[in-house]
Amino acid sequence: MSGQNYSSADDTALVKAARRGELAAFEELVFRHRDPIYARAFSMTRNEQDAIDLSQEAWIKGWQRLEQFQGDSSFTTWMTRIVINLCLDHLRRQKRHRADSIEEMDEESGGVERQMPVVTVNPTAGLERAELRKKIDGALGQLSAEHRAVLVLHEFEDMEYKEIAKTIGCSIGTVMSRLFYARRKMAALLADMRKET
Amino acid sequence: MNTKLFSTTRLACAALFFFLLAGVSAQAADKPLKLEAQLILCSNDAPTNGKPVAPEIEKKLKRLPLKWQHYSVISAQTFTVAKDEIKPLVIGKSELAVKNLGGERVEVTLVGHGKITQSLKKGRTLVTNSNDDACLIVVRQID
Amino acid sequence: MNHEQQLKLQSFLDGELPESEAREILSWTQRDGAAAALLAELKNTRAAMTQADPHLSLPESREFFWSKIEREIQRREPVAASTPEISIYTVLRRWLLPAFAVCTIVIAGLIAHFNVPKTAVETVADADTPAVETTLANSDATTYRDASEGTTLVWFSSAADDNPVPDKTPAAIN
Repeated sequence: MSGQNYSSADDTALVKAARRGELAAFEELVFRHRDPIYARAFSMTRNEQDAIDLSQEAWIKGWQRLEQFQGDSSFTTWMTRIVINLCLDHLRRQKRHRADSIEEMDEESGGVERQMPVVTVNPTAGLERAELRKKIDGALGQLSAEHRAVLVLHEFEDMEYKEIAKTIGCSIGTVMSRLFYARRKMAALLADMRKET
Repeated sequence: MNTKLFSTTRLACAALFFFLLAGVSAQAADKPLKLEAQLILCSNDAPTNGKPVAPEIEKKLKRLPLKWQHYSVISAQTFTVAKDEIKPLVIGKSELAVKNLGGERVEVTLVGHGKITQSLKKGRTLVTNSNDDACLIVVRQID
Repeated sequence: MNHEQQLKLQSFLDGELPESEAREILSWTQRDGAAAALLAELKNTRAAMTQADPHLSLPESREFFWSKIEREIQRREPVAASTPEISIYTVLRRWLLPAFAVCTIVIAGLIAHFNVPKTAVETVADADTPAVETTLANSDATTYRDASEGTTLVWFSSAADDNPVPDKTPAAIN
């Protein structure tokens, strides 16, 4: 495959070419999918520079692990798994906030989210999209890395429970519990934000 | 590396190699034997007839519990025997029949006396009677 | 409502339940106000998240971003290329073990094949010890083996023969 054909080739052909060592084919893949991968990294890290660095590292790892891409998912999904795990590793290495520790303790005790009052009024109704994103962004930042990962993968990547479990390496039950906690926490945070405005 | 202890491909290649090797070895084991039979004159006097035996044969003969001290070659015959083939030969007054049993084993029949079955790998020597007086027959494998 | 029921509600919302279970949950939410309220909250949160998916663009140019990746790939590649160097011991182990296993089987087979006796005489005779048969009823055979020289002496004799072997017949010389 010559360089001239890369832009018209599909992802499968580009991956094949990249496996043969054609770096230009891989560059085309990076060009096509750099934005969603960066967006996922940003959703996780809440920091632009960290997201750039981690998405860059994800692409390097993707090049090194091309042989492992079996084609059972889309190339973007495969790269998303890589970047999410890099972000999780990065966030775990960072100093934890006390709130995260409490959050984990809450989850481990398995009761806080059940006791949260149900938010009956839609806290995001009527918000402009930009404002909504800002609020969601703020609320996401208050979740732990693990809860954020599950929520991002389910809501932004449309992954099923078992796919999420495979991506982050935990059980389906853990995915369900974390997702439930994250959603309830988000609802409470968004309701609080609504009250403040 | 694969978790399998033995990769199927490597096992197959190794098996093929060793079956070929085994085949070659088997072929070598069944190859025709090139033998030499010598009629040796024995005496306690210094030899005057015949040429002296080769030093390695002389050494072997002198280690045997024989009453003679000196040995000389009267005649020698070289012959090849294929596996399962019986080679008749006359050496002096003796008649021999040599059969290649394979695996470098031979059956030497000294007509009128008896049959000897043994290994004649390189370096091994069979010494037996001759119908000639004061003579021995030496049979060995040669190159 | 216990935690398991709450997770069932979530699974129903996410389409992760089989059809029969999903119908049961739907029916439950229609009967139970608390379940319906929780389901609504989860639904609102999910909708908010979906709308708020940040379709961000990488704040770096394509060339600049790629140049960093390319440089790093090339920097790491020589290390990756050299690490697969396989030591002679790995090669030996990979090939030697299966070869040894096969060799053992083959050798065992060859030994069995070549040691199968064909005649009664061969049953007695091993590689070094000759088997001797005499033709004449009143004859005998004397056998000496010099193992170190690989020499076998087989002397066929009868009572009338002049035996070259001394009366004191020594045992085989070793």
